[in-house]
Parts: sequence; structure tokens; C-alpha cells
Amino acid sequence: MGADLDAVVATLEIDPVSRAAFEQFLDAQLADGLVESSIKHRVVERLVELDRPVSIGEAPDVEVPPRSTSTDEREILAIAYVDHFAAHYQSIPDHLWDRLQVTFDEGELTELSWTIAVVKGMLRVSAALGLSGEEA
Amino acid sequence: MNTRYASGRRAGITEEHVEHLSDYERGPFTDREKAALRYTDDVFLDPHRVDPAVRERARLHFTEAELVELTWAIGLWVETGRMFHALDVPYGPVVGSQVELRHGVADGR
Repeated sequence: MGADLDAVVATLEIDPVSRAAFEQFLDAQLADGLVESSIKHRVVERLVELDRPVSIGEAPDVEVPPRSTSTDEREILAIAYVDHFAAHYQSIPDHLWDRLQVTFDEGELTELSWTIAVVKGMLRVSAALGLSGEEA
Repeated sequence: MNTRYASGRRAGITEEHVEHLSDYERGPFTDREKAALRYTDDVFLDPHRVDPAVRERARLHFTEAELVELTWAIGLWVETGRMFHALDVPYGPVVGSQVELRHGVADGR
């Protein structure tokens, strides 16, 4: 487990104004937009779970979850996308992509992808600066 | 130097810089730039395993706040690039050149 994003920002050795701007930026990324905030927060949780050294954390053996009729279909697919993005962003399987495109429109998929990129970037900062509570 | 070709040009990046990027330690870069590039390599390859000597070298040239900003820039651009891959956004030298051309015409640069 890595640190949560709030803790990371609180640890950054930057001036209060910059920290406030940073916090505001991250809050805005996770707010309701085209994609609901609840899914974005699940994305953060999942990315924190997956955050580990490259040489130790092999690409997880991700499986696209079975098609579900539950109301959580968007969340299930979003997390599957996160898993594939984290493991092999260069080859998101067509069958997952097809289902994502049925469930999310193009704007939502772009926003979801951006959320993943921002959070992964933030976790990269945390790890690189040794703020994640692990050996840097 | 692909999708950010035009802004790189405006920031003073030359063909000579680009040619030496794969061997930047012996290229026409300042010590501060070389320290940043070496640090970038480690943050890119595995942010959990940044060589302490590399981080210390970066700290010789950057304040803590600057290092935070630099690391954030690296993290965001690495992941943005991956996002472009995942979304299959076309990019590369050809696209970059076209953007540069259109940009130059449109902006009169």
C-alpha cells in the first residue's frame, strides 16, 4: 500500500500557497465531472493498491470481470480499465475497450483516463520522493 | 519532441539537444539539466527505486520545492504519454511536424 494522496500532498516540502493550489488541483480532478466522483475515488484506491516497485510487482494477472447487470457496471469496468492501464497501457484488450465504449461515452472515457494519469503521476511523485512510507 | 515540438522549440531546445538526448551526460546540457535528465530516467523506470546518489545529485541543483515540481512534471508527463497510448491518440514526429506547421501558419510564427 502506498500513501493516500492527501497525506502525500501534506508531506511535500513546498510553501503553503503552492500546497493549497496543489490540493485544489487534485480535488478538482476527483470531483463529479462527466464521471461521478465515487468512481474516481475507487480509481484512486485501486491505483494505491497496485502501486509497488516495478521489479517486485509483476503485471497483475488481470481478468475482465464477467458482464454484470448490477448498477456497479461502470465501476467494475473502470477498475478493470485501471488494472489493464497499470499493467500494460500499450495494449488495452479490444474486448475490454468495446465494453468500456458501451458503458462510457468518449468524453467520460477521456476524463476517466485523465484521472488515472493524474493519480498515477501523483503516486510516482510520492514514490520518487520517498513519501510513500516504503524504501525509496 | 513530438507533440510538444513547438513548445520545445520556443523553450530553446535545439536539434543539437535532441541529437544528444540519448547520451545526455556528454551532450550540450548544463549540469542542472544533466542532473534533471538523470533523475528523470530513474523516476521513469521505477519511482520506488530512485538511486539515492541520483536524488542527491538532483538536490545539488534544485531546491526541495523545485524538485517537487520537477518530479510532478515527470510523473504527469510519463502518465499522460501512457494515457495517449491507451486512448490510441496519434502522435510522433510526423504528427508533431504537422502541428508545428499548422501552428506556425495560424500564429504567424
